[in-house]
Amino acid sequence: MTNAIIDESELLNRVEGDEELLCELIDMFLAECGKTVQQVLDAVVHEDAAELHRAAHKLKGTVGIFGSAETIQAALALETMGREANLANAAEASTHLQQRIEALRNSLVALREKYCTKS
Amino acid sequence: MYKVLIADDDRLSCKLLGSLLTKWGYEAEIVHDGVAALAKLKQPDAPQMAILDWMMPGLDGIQVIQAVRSSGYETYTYILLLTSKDQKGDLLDGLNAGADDYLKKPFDNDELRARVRAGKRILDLQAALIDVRDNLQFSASHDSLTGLWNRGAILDKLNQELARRKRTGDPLGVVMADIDHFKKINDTYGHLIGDAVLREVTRRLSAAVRLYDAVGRYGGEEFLMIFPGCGAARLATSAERLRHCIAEDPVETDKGQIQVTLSLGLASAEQGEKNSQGCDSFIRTADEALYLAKVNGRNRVEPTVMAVEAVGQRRDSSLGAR
Repeated sequence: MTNAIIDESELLNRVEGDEELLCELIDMFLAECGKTVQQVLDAVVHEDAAELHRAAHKLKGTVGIFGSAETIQAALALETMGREANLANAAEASTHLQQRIEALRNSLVALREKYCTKS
Repeated sequence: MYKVLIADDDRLSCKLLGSLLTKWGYEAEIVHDGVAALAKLKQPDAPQMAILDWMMPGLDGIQVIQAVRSSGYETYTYILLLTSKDQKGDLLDGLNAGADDYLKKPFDNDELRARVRAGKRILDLQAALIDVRDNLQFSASHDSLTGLWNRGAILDKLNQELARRKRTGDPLGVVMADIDHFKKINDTYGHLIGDAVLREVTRRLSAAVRLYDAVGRYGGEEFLMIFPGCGAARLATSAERLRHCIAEDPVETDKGQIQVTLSLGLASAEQGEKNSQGCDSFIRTADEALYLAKVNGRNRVEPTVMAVEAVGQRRDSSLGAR
């Protein structure tokens, strides 16, 4: 289930086997991604292309840390729409992004159970 | 430890980057926007390497790079631009703005580590070159045996002081000093001991003057010293102190104690004195007084000689007698 969204061994590689760092990153993500996702959604609703560009770009960077290609792709699609100021498909894309992020969240929560029980 | 600045508005990115760099032995400083990044890079003890995210609030990475590059800081800042943009044009923009290297997000750890190491090599090279430059600057202006200002440098200092007093009218004193019978010391004990005597005389003279006085090795055993703010009276007092600090105790050498004395000639200009003497005239006047100190028995301070014409000739014909 977890492996579908996140490449666990790749992620451990990325933190050089430092589980404590992994847990910190997961906690930061879980605490902050909601806010950034909301910024993306708001930008779509307000048809604010510049803000969409910025927020989606930032979300893409954050998501990138966990190496989840599909989620990165979903954020990139919105970032591109923002940059090109073409928001025709933005609502649909943002719904898709929301789903991907939700899946990522669930995977990270599972990962947290596995590695971060001590705290 | 190498300091590396990390500037990224994404806190997760910063956390990961900072932790990795710390693991690899660097000291990470983290900021979250371009304005803070630029402020950090302008500090006196700024990190010499910076990893900048392209898109940041305030100033973006490119603007930070442009500001750093146009400011002409003394040392070079090696800048890695972090970007998730991957179109060719964007990368060229980054490199043209002055980035040294770039890395695409999400970055590969090994690649990041190798690129940071490449930057460190450049910075190490820069540090080595600055060292060489500083050493060259030192040896171009200092005497290698004594570490004092060399002849060219002490004359430069004198010219600077003369230019300053032309504006301020402050008094200025110059001392020309020569070790008595130095040739005899060399002949008797050898040049190594002669060198040791020169170094000890240097040490005592340097300790006896004020911080803002200047001591230079003018010739073989001849010293030129500059005393800003000292007219004839204060210069005479200082010169007597210099004479005494050499004569009071013998110099300890590998071949035993050697009694060393100094003859000193003075030249000075008083507060507001209008017909400001030039460099050559100061040197000549002090030199002539020094000659008189020799003639009058050595180990003594001779104030400025008023009638100079005849003295100059006498000196020329008796240089060997020193």
